[in-house]
Parts: sequence; structure tokens; C-alpha cells
Amino acid sequence: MRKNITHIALLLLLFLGNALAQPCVKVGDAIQLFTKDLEKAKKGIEDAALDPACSSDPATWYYKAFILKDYYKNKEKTIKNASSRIAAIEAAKKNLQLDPQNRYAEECKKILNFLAQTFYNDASKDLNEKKYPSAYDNYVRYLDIIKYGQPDKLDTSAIFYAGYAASMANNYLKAKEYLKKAVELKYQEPNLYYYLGKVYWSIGEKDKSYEVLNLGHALYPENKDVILAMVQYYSEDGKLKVLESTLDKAIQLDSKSPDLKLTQAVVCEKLSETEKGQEEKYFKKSESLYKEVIKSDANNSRANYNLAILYYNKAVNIIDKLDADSDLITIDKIQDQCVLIFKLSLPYMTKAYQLNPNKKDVLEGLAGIYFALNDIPKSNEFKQKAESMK
Amino acid sequence: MSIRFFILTVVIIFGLQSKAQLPDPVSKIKVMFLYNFTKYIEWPKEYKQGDFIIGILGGGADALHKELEKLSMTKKAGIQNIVIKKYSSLAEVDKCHMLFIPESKSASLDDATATLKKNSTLIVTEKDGLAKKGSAINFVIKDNKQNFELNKGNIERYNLNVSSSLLSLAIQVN
Repeated sequence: MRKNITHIALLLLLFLGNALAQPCVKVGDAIQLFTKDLEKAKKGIEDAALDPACSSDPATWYYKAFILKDYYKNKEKTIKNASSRIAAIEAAKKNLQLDPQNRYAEECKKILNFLAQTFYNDASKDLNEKKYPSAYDNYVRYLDIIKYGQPDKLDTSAIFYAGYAASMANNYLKAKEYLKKAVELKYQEPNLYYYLGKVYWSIGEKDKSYEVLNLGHALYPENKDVILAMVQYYSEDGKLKVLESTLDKAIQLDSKSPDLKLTQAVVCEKLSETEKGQEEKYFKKSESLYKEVIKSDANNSRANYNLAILYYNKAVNIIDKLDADSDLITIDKIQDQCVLIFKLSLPYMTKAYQLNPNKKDVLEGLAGIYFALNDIPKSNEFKQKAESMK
Repeated sequence: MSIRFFILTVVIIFGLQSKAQLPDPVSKIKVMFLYNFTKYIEWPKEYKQGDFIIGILGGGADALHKELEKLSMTKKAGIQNIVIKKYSSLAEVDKCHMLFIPESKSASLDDATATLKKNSTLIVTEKDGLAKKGSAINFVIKDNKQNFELNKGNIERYNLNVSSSLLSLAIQVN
């Protein structure tokens, strides 16, 4: 039924073509074969296009595009890089080039739009199947074809997806090109900023990465992925101060995430070691975050371990910074203070040990705390267990 | 067709880890005590010239050795430069102001007291009961803290004087 409709349409066009200009004989023969034998029609129109008597006639290219498009639909739709699809596109483009009066332009554009859409669909399918290089190629082909079919249309969505597919295929230069264009065209998709930030980061353009991610965050303050990318890169870059403020925002967006709180706790712990005059502020913040995580999940081994280490390190730092000229009374007071802190550390490391009895870091942690508390037999017990883990 | 995005961020952000500090707090405290002893104990005149030698007997005690080396770079005993020496045996000990015998070498205490009886060497140990068996000062643990026992007789036997301040802060042993 569908075939018949197509045939009628073609004959109608042939009639219309006749009204305008008579196509060459070989083209007419191919059209006649169209409903009877598609293979022969294809062969006929291909031969006609090679014939100098027909090849300069725009109608030849229009009919070639039409027949090969139909051939693709019926015979080669499942074939990757089907030659009939490419040939149909080239023929339609050739018609647009040769047809100054635009007699077939609208029909050729319809053919191009249809075939462009097939590339778009292939690209989307590839993307969902994680075939990123192929998805990228298909989006690029779509974009190339659609500009003939719809010269006034700029498909920002396809531009973004081409960039996304390229970035997932680690083709960073092309990813940068397309994603940057999507940003310039103000394509509305928060992941655009995430992926362009990632691409810039991957090619070492860190400042650009931060710039894009910050722009993405400003446009989409509720988007977690953009802010998590910022967290990741600031972390890798060791920019602890800005990382801390970024993590605060991320925690606001996802207040139940133990991972974000634990990361922020570690950041604050490190800041407590480097930010002069703010040691106690950052220590307290770190301690409070660990406790929040433990309160909601007493069995979070990392929170227990890290909090134990936070206390342990605090006491060790106090002792390490002790001036050698301190008198014996001062040393005694410092020891009192540190024993209390080491004792704060012990239950959390013990809990971490209960949760992970064979973890070397935990065993070494317990050995260290008991050693600092001068409980040498206990310290040796855990030290030996830790060594046996080797 | 809807597209599924693959976001990788959360997996990677936890490169940051809590790590225990390396300094050994116990050795640091012991070294602070040892340095204080140089202030509260008086050595005879002939020991007040040249370097102030702090010796460690035997292998081990690496953390303490390291802390002592750090101390020697910044501090002096009075006007004397502090020099740290490691002795593999008592025969190597010559003019030494302070000899630290680690717990693992505690069995050498008798030999040490015999070998050093004509010297003015402050013998410091770290095993329960050794202040009663010949050491001048013995590190002990009390309420999870480092403390020290002091045997005045064992100090004076080596022609050393101990200040009343140190006596008042020590656990005195006869």
C-alpha cells in the first residue's frame, strides 16, 4: 500500500517534471522500473547519473536521490554506512547545486531531512549503547546533512550530543569544539557545563574548566553533577579553600550524602593544619562532620577511622610542636591533655577495627593509639597483626 | 529517544584521605625529658668542656635517635654542643654524659654500671624496676603518661649532682 502511494507520488512528480522539462530517457526508464524492481531501478538511475546526456540535468539527481532513499529504506536500513543512503544524500545535494531555479529543491530537502533524521536516530541508539565514536560520527553527519535540508535551523541539541559523544569517546578536541559551540548557543542543559568542564580539565586547560563549571553552577545552582565536578577538580588541584566553600554548597544540595560530608571533613582537617589562626575552627568543623555521619550511620567505618585519626593527629601535633625548652611541669600538662585526646580517638578506631578487623590501616591506627597511651603490650599486639597483613 | 548520561564524579572525589602523622609522640616526650635532665643535673668540671655526648646503647630506638638528632641541631646543653652517638657495645663508650639504654638492652645494665663506674655518665633506662638495679633515671608509665623514677644514690655514685627541683618532680627510688 505504502509502496503504491510512493509510486503515485513519484509518477506525479514525473508528470510535474514533464510539465517543466522532460527528464532524459534513462531516468524515465528507471522511474518506470521503480515499482516493479527496485534493484533494477537503482541500477538504472545510477547508470543515468553517469551518462553525460543525463548527468547535467538536475532532475536526474533528484530522481536518483528519491530512488536511492527508497532503496535505503527498504533494503539497507539495518546496514551501517549503507552506500545507498550516502549516495541518496550526495544526489540530493548535487540537485540543489545544479538546480538554480529550485524546481526540485523542496523535495530534495525533504529527502535530506529524512536521511539526516536516520543518522540522528542511529546516533541516539549508539549513544545509549555506549558506542561513542560511532555516535559522534552519526551526529556530525546529521549536522552536516541537516544544514542542506533546513539551512535556517541550528540544532543545538545535536551539537551538544555530538560534543557529549566525542567527550565520552575521549576525542577531547572535537568534544571541546562542539560543547563550546553549544555553550555559545546557550543550549539549556546543565550536563553541557559538566562535560565541557571535564573536557577542559582533561586537556589541561584548568582555568577554562573552572570558568565553565562556575558558569554552569551559576545557571543551574541546583545541579549536583556540575558542583561535584568542581569538587573533584579543586580536590585534584589541591585548592582546599575554594574546595571547602564548594563542598558546603554541594552538601546543601545533598545534605544526606555521607561521602560529601566525609570529603569536607578531610578538607577541613587539612585546612586545620595549614590555615594559621583558624586551626581550631577547621578542627571543630571536621570533628562535627564526622560525628554527623556517625550519628546517621554508626557503622560507617571511614567516618570512625577518620575521626580517630583526627583526634590522634591533633594530639601528635600538640606534642610535636612542643618547644624543647618546655619545663617538666609543662610537659606533664601537655601529656595530660594529649592522653585525653588519645582516649577520645580510641573508641572510634576500635569501632573501625570491629567493622574491618583485617584492615592494615586500622590495625596500625590502633597500634599507634595504644603506643601513644603507653600501653605497649596492646600496641605490639595490633602492630603484629598489622605486620601479618603484609 | 532519551539519552542516558554517564556521570563519573562521585567515584573520584575521595582521593583525599586521613592519614596518621608520622612523629612518634612517646619518643618526643622522652627526648624532652632527657633535655631537661641536662639542665637539672650537674656534671663535674672536666665534663663541662667539649661536646655534650648523649649515647644510645645498641640498635633500635630509631625514633628516639631521630628526635635526639633533631634536638642536637637546635639546642645546646649549657654552652656545649649536643652530639648524639650510637654505641653497639659498652666497650665503645668513652666520655659520655648521658647513656640511654633502651628496653631491649636492659640486660646490659649491670655491665654498664660496672664499665662506667669511674665515669660521670648519667644512665637512663626504660624498664620497670631498673632504678633499683643501678640506673640513675628510669622512664616509667603512670596513668598512660611518661614519667621517671630517680635514684639519687645512683646519680651521686657517678659524681653527679641533682637539683632539688628535679627531685621534687621525680618518683624517687632508693
